[in-house]
Amino acid sequence: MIRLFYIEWIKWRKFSPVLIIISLYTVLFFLICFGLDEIIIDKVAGNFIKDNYNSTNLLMQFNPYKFPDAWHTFAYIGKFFKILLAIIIINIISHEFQNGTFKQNVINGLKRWEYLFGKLILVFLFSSFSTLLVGIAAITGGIIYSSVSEMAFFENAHFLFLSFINTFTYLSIAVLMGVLFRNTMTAFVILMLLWFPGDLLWLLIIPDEFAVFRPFEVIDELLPFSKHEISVWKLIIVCFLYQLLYWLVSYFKIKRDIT
Amino acid sequence: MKNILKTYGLSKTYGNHNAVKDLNITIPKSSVFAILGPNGSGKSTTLGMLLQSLKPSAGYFEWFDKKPESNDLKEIGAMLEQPKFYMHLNAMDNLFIVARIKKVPYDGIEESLKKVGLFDRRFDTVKSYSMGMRQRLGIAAAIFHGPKALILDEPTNGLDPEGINDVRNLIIDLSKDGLSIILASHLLNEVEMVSSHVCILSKGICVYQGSMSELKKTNEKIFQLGSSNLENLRIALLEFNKLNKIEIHKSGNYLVVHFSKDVKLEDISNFLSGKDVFLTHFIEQQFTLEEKFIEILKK
Repeated sequence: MIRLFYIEWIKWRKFSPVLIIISLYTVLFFLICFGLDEIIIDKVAGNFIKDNYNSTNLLMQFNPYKFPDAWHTFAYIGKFFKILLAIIIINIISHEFQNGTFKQNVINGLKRWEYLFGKLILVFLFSSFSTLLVGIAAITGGIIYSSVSEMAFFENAHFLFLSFINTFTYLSIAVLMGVLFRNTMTAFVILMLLWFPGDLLWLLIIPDEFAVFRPFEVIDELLPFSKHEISVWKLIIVCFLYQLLYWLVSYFKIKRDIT
Repeated sequence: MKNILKTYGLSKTYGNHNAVKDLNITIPKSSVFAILGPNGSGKSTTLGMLLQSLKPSAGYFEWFDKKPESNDLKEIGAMLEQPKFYMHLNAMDNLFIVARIKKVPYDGIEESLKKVGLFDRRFDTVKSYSMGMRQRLGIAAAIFHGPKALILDEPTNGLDPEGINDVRNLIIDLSKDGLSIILASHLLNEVEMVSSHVCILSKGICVYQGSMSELKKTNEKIFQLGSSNLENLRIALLEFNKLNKIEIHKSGNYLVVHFSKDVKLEDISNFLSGKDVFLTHFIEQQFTLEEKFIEILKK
């Protein structure tokens, strides 16, 4: 595994799209989290409180940047940025297929499952990176906005794990798109179409009680705006099953003859 | 180990099309074995099967006298038509990746870069390299781990004359070092200069296999003969008992005369002197690989 990690590390540490998008991701995420914090707190939480409690005095009390809600808030904001990571993953895979380096790797002796395992490591690393940013933002926001007496530090910290699963599952779809279409633009456009309106089309063929388990909906439901409507464990298990499916299909796709 | 590779009825079909059919070749150790054939004759498909990137439809092969395993690929270096590299990385990084994939130490990397003449450019990104340099880097990537065999598919494709010359000299040097080389190409004059053995493929079938010298051997001797009067020369030669065939050279200035294999130069000269015919032009014509190749394919 260290060998496969090292191969991926050498391949992509100097790849400019990765460096640019990762930098953009980091800057944008913190800029939106902390540059627009007043707007987020006022408009989102403020309106919610005004609508529900008809009082602005509760604003500071229900501030979503405070612990323990900070974990949920930043994980929720973070989930919108995973699309940038999906672009990197698709770009990396398409780059390897289009430039023939995948074929060259196989000729050099890399097994197909090893190639895919390398991508699994990348997806793990990118998901960990996005989770780390959410964690740093949540701790920073929590410390700034919470008083010492309010620091229920670890309560709701499980949203970090849910954020990881959210990104990991989404990037697993991105790997599948990259392997299937082998072209950044095509794969990305199809990913977007599958997300919207693709995910809505499922509603036409599946019963309402399973609507929450649609491929993209289930990922989204891990980090809802308010509360989980169904058991988190059910969502996690379904996400794991989807991940398994995406990786298996990707494997069988690249297992075929190289043409 | 006498041979590095043996194939037994190796075949590959795509639908109804036989890309390679019943291929039985034996590649001796330390040879430069050329696989020749026109485009679409099955050269690349054959190499694809030998490199285990394509599954044979029938038959099998043995590398180094044993059934192939994925580990065998470590003992084989391969460079396909245009080697593929990570353009944003330098030569060293690209070879580090190959080393990690093959699970071999980095020891030979700098030495191989010296061998192919890229040592001074080893920290430049591959995208700044010319086609010839990339080709040489491909060979470095294929040999740095000290393989027993090297597979080259159209190694001079797309290169300028200087690049072709560099690659040709590199192949000759590597073969002198004892490396067995399998070379697929359609550039016959290039192959002729470097190869010791040859297999000619036509429509997926091996139509000739043997040493290069054997291939160029003929059952007759052919001379270009000229004199002040070609017609007199032709009439005189018709009486020579070891004559097989007379043709007029495409320039119209000489006759191309086919004699039986045991004819001697002085026999011809003495015979013509006796007929008062004197030669002004006398050259023994050698078969080129290209001529033999076309002759074999026509059959």
